[in-house]
Amino acid sequence: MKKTSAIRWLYQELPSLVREGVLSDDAAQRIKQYYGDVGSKNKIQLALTIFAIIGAIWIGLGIILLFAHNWDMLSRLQRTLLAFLPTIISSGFVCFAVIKNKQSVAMREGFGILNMICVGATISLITQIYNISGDISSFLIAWMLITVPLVYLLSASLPALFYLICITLWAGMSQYEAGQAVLFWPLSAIIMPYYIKNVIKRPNASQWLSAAIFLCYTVAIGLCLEQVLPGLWILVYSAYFAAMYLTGTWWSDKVSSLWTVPFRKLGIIAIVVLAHILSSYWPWENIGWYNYHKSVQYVSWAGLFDYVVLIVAAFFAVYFLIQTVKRRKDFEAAFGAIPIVAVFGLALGGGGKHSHLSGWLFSAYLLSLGVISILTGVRERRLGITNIGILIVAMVIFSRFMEFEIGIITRAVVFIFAGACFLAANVALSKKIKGGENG
Amino acid sequence: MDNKKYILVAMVAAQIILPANMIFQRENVLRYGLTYRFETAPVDPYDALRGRYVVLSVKNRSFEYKGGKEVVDGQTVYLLLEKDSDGYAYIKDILLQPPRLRNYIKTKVSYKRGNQLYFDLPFDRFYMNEYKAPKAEELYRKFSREGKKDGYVLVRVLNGAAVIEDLYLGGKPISGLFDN
Repeated sequence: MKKTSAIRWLYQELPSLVREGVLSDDAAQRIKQYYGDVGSKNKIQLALTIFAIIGAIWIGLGIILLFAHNWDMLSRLQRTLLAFLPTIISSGFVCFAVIKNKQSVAMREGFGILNMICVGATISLITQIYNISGDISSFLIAWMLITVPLVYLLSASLPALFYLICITLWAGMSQYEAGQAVLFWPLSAIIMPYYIKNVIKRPNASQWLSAAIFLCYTVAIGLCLEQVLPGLWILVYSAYFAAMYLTGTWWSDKVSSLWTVPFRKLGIIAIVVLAHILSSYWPWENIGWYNYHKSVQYVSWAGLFDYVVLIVAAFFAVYFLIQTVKRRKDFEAAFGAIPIVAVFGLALGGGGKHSHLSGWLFSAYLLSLGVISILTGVRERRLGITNIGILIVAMVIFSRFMEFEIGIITRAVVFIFAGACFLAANVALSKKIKGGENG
Repeated sequence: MDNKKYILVAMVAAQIILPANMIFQRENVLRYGLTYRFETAPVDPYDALRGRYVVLSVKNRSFEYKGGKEVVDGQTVYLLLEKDSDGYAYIKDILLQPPRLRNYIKTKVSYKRGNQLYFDLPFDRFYMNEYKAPKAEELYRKFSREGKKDGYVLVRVLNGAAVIEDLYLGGKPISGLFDN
């Protein structure tokens, strides 16, 4: 079987091989004709997958509507038997795909998500038949646990994505209902072997799952933190975002794959947003051991998991930060250093009288990130990074600026001046890049 | 492939067994449970209907707790039930451990005001055909007004579980009101 990623790599190498005289232009064209257009085949496959999924969802919803139309005229026994039909039919499709070892991505993804929806529909229908109330969190977790094997049986990413989103929702509901959302971690670990295998075998097809993992874990950390020790979230989130970002940059240097893109892009955004939040005073007030929560509303044993999450995130953050520094990647190392700055912030003034110093420390950190980004963008002639740097600097200046009592006219003049500087920097850098390209 | 087949069989079995177990538990309560009538209480007209079910509220869903142990919101408790002189159910006592009796409901504390504990009872909705639901809402509010005892939800209770058998308005089951 042809490997799309290998063919795509070969196509990227062909121009340099022709330029160096290793292959003739004619030979390069024959190679392309032999392997065909990789991009369009992938697009066709993607379209097929999408249509299969939409078709599967419509079939599921249509079946439910048919039942709903004559519902009142049926006895409870009849309704109960009909409620099982979606699950039985969709399970039949899944069995067919697994036993016949079907390789079609569209079929596997479509059947997988169809079965997930149909099982949820069956449980919902029974809930209605017996007027079962409340406890949506129990329904969600049961639904997910009996459908998650689809991820491995069908090697399907869509069920994995759906599962991750639903257990994140479950964690939110569970926490709201005074349950224990900390179970999110072992539940999310269930799909990790599939994700790792997918990254190895189909690295460019794992972007969405990578993005979902990043976002769902970000939400779950906030939900699961017992917060027995106020302010621990500062260390946890800074270590987590740094770990994710540096993991993405480290792997992207090793292999050119798309699965690292969400970690890099979302990671850098998250670090900037977190640093901006921490440049305020309020996160640093009333935190630390002196404010430890001992009320019965806080579960001490669940608080232990806060430290476990912190240790794991910090381990990866520090490890990859050291690797990044060794590779002399100043730009990445600067952003990845946020947990270290957080430690200094906590030591400086967390919870005490000098909490404003911690805010100023992060303002200085954010400003330095902006300057480093600008310098890196100018040096490497990357307009995007330069603009990110200018935006960060502008954000810091405006945030600190808005704290002072200054008149509207003065603010307007400053905004206009800052905007003009922004535009001028872009124009100058664009000219420099074009000048460099022209030799 | 053999491992996959075992996992497939286990998954399909779980997908059948879980809903079947839900049905079995509730059918068991409906068949062998004790019958209680819970008098309906008025609900906010906006809340009376959500989607295709009528929101139910019952009177006597609070209890003044005088036990020594602290009870917090969301804590699981066990409500011992009894019937008053009119045959309507009320909460006789609250226990923090399951009793060796049949006439209790397992539930959670919704909120408390001082010693008064309020509960989320596991029968707060009655599913209706969506086209009949507006009329059902109107009837529910009519028969649940303060001072009237014309509405009640008939519940079967067994070993902590409670299942709605029917909703009665004006002495008649709600389905019967629409048949007429």
